Amino acid sequence: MQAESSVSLRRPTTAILAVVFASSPALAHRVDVGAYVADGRVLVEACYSDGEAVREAAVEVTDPDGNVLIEGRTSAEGRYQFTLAAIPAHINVVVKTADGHRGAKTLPRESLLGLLGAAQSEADASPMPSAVEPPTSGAATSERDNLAEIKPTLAQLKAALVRHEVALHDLQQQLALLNKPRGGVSTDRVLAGVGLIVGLTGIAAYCLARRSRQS
Amino acid sequence: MHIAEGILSPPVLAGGALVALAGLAQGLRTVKPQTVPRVGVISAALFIAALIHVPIGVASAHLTLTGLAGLLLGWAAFPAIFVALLLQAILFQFGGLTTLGVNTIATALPALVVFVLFRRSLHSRGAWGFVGPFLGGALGVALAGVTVAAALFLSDDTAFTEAAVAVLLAHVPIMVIEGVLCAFCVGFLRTVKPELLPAPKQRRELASAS
Repeated sequence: MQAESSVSLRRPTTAILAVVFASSPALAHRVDVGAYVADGRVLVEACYSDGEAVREAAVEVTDPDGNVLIEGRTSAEGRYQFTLAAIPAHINVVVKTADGHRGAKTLPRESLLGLLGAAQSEADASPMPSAVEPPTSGAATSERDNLAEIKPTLAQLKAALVRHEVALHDLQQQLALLNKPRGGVSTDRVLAGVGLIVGLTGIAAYCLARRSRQS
Repeated sequence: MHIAEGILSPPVLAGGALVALAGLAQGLRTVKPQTVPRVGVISAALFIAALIHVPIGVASAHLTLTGLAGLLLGWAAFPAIFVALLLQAILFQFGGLTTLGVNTIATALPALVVFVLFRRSLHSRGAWGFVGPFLGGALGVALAGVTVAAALFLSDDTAFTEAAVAVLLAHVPIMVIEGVLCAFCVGFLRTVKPELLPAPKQRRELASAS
């Protein structure tokens, strides 16, 4: 009987292995949440572990004390965005579906400072030029010569600013890619799990066989 | 079935864990040395089945093999399902360790019901031999969906019907696919390896603690 059952084991095992390798790209059932700050907003993206967007799911943003700051729903692409008036020590972004799936992402204060930066730079936008002027008026001796020199300098400043903005945009795009919810299950983990089950089965068989021999 | 962590309330989690432990103890008592390999194979199949995503329907759903596990294992479906879910929680972050009890029940109870209702069809050579396992496979998924909805309802203010509709709608395509899969698996085993099916004599051993 024992020999018989070990022979009958072989066929299903082959079937299982076939399934593992046939199915590796199609996965499901965990919600991955990605969140990052860009353009003064927090962008949230949620997907299932097979990469499919989590549509129409409830989004809840809470502070460390558990107070709900923002509530909303993901779009058809699984995205959501919001801004914050004040920045707490960290925020939790939780995405929940009606059928019991849930994913969460914690953003620490450091990652949220971009929100503050955007708000501040808007507020600082007007004083900035005047901050450039004082050294020119301070160097007062030959103002006309200086004014002539300043014009190209301003153009250079503008060019530099544009360069930096382009670089910043690139960085933000890379950050978006890094923060994209990843999904997926690695084949090693699948194999590890199958191996563990085979091992457990072996141990169980050993224990049971010992017990039945003793009795 | 995988309910994620942080969704269910503590009483539901504790209750689920207790019932799952009882089922597990009962399931382990029915396992005989001859049936250990079968339990292992089904457990491995369950472990991997959750990775097979069916991209039809409104939500993300995957195979569960609940009905098949019930038909082939009876009470022993409890340990098989428990091990599969435990490893899925650890290795894939599907479900979670705290919800392990509830998720085990949500999969193993339907398996048991399917076993009780349809085990007679396992060795039937007529049309019932196909229809029985088909219904078993489909019912396994449906019952699992209802159990998940009940767990969500018990621990939250979400309306039962809303949760049940959300879960069941997501699983309608899976029900059909699992029904067909279950019917073909049972048919295949009946023709090729009838020893893998619970034999009429073994049936009693699997069904009760005896």
